[in-house]
Amino acid sequence: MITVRVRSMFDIKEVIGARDLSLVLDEGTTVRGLLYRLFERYGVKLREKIMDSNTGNMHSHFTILVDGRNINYLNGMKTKLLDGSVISFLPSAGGG
Amino acid sequence: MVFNGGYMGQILRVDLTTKKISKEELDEKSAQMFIGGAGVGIEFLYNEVKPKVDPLGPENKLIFSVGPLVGSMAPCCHRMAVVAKSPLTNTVGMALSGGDFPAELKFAGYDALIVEGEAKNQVYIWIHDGEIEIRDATGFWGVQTLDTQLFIKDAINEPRAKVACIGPAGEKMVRYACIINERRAAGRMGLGAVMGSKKLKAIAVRGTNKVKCTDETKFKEALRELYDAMKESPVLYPAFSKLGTAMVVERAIELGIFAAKNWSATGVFAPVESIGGEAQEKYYTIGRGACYQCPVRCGQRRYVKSGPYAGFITEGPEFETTYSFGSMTCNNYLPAIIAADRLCDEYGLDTISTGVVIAFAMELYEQGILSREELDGLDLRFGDHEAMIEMVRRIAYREGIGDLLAEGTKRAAEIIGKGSERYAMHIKGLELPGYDVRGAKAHGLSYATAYTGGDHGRGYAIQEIFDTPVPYSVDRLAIEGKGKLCKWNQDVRTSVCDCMPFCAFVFDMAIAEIALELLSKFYGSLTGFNITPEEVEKAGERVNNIARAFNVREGFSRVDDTFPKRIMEEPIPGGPLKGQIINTGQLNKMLDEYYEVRGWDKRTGAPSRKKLEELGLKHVADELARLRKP
Repeated sequence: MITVRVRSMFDIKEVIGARDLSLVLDEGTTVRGLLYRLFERYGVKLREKIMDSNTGNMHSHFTILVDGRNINYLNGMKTKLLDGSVISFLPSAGGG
Repeated sequence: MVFNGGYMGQILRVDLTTKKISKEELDEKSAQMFIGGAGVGIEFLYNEVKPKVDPLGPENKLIFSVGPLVGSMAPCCHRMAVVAKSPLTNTVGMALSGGDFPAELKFAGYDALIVEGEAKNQVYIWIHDGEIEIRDATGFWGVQTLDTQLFIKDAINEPRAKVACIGPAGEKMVRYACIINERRAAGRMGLGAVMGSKKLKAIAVRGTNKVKCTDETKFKEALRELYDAMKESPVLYPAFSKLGTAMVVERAIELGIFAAKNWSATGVFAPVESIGGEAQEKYYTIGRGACYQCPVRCGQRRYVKSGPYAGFITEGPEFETTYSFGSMTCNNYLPAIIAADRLCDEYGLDTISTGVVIAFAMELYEQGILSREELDGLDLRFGDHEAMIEMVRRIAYREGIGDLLAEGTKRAAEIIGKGSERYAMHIKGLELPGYDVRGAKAHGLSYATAYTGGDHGRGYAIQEIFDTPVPYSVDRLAIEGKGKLCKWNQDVRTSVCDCMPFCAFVFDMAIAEIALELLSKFYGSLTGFNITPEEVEKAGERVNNIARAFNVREGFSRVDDTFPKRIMEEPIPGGPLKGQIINTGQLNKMLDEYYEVRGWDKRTGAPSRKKLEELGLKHVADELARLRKP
């Protein structure tokens, strides 16, 4: 088993109920596996914020980081999580 | 030349030494080559402010340059570039401001106002369409900026006038003093000090003209395209209009790049719960403000109800101010950031430079380089927000150590010595903004190479900070390819945001993919001058080259395109990007690639003759060649 932290902000944080959530997962769980687990727990309210129902893929404006790295530069949804991994959900942003 | 639309076709010149007021035609060729805003302003600067001029002397010029889109029916474009030689950096000084003043200057009939010389006594300029007066401002000297605006409108008996002014910091020529109009700022680079050096307290303007449009049908099509894009943005109205730029605090912390404790604790000190955008919105926001005609209304008005800073109200703090007075000074007490933001507005200080300078002083104190005695008894420790607020006042009035710190981190470090240079977080003298570029390499390369110094606005890497895949996606930690990307970011942002001009936030969040095409449609339909998207980008390249040439004339070269030692020798200490750095080899690799794509000399960093002539800047190439000759 591995323990990971899921960090979120703004409306996703509202759905999950915490900025920093600890989860215990099976070893070898991927990012996709984590998402399924979260969607099971938090339902369509979370799913629609992350996934595009038309394409079945993640919203193009949404970013998932694993330990600070965009999963697009790791192994995408198949990125394997490790014990202690920190997964960040970043909605679209601007300004600054 | 009669301009059919967009441009007013007129430049106003006010010489404060001779009191001569003159109007001249906007040159059509300049308008088409440099578009407007920063472009036109920097062309004037290059042509009229010769090398080695004292930025605080009468030979410097202060240029307020609007653009062809300003005052039109389009939203999100009513901005101005204020240009001068910067007293902080000695480079081109350029800062943008929104609010209402830019449109009013345009309605008064001018594409730019050029202020020259130095008044004998304190004055303000009153522009009422074609009537211009230079009036006595001795009664307003010393007054803070928000009151100044009210008092001057009262004095001219015109409540509809808009006023751009300086506060005590500009009057005392603090080298990072800013110019305030309404609650907006031409914040960076010390342009307020230039205004103070001319004894110019304020400019009041009231205009009754209209901005003409050559092809209204095509203009309305472009407008529809813009509004549709703004509505489709997943962030602009849903989040940004509610949270403002402070929403980037959360993102920067997750990315591991919210620079903290004078850049020594990035990823370690990251109090998102207490100073993030959500906390600001939830506990302090009471309303929203907007620039002229803007539907987004991203200006967040925040008010402190209780505690030691009760009563402070500000339009902000923006992301950068939350960085400079929050994470940089290790202050997690948000009311103190709100208070600092308000005080900087009132005194007329750049919030970024002021916070970074205070953080610098805090580190020097904790390192034992500055003593408590030298700080006039102030226990200026990281985290002490009361000391931080007191230092803002001392800098504004140049009191005690404030007089030295008012010179900026670069000059202060040179004077203090004792190894303090290591803690001065600037590039070319401009204090660094809030993104720790050890974790965003193209963003960092732009800090290192921008013509203004360490500036996030000139070539913001939206691909690295917001994962925007325009023109393509990048890995923010990669070194390869960042020279090419940086050039694109700088040239496109310069022409679209700084010259048209157009709000950089709406660019980032709604139109990045279609910006060049959309702005070419706006420009063409307004002015009647057809311009392709490629030519829009070329104009930005032209501005970056002439600005670079100005800096080369001032003695800047490749050696100045660098980072503070902390960035190059100390890795990020904590968080998800622990260990990231930009070392000499990585910097050189990025610079070599950048100069290659720019067509600049790899040894000196100077624009080549070939590049300058390609851009129609032969006279600039000739001058640089003359300067190179022994």
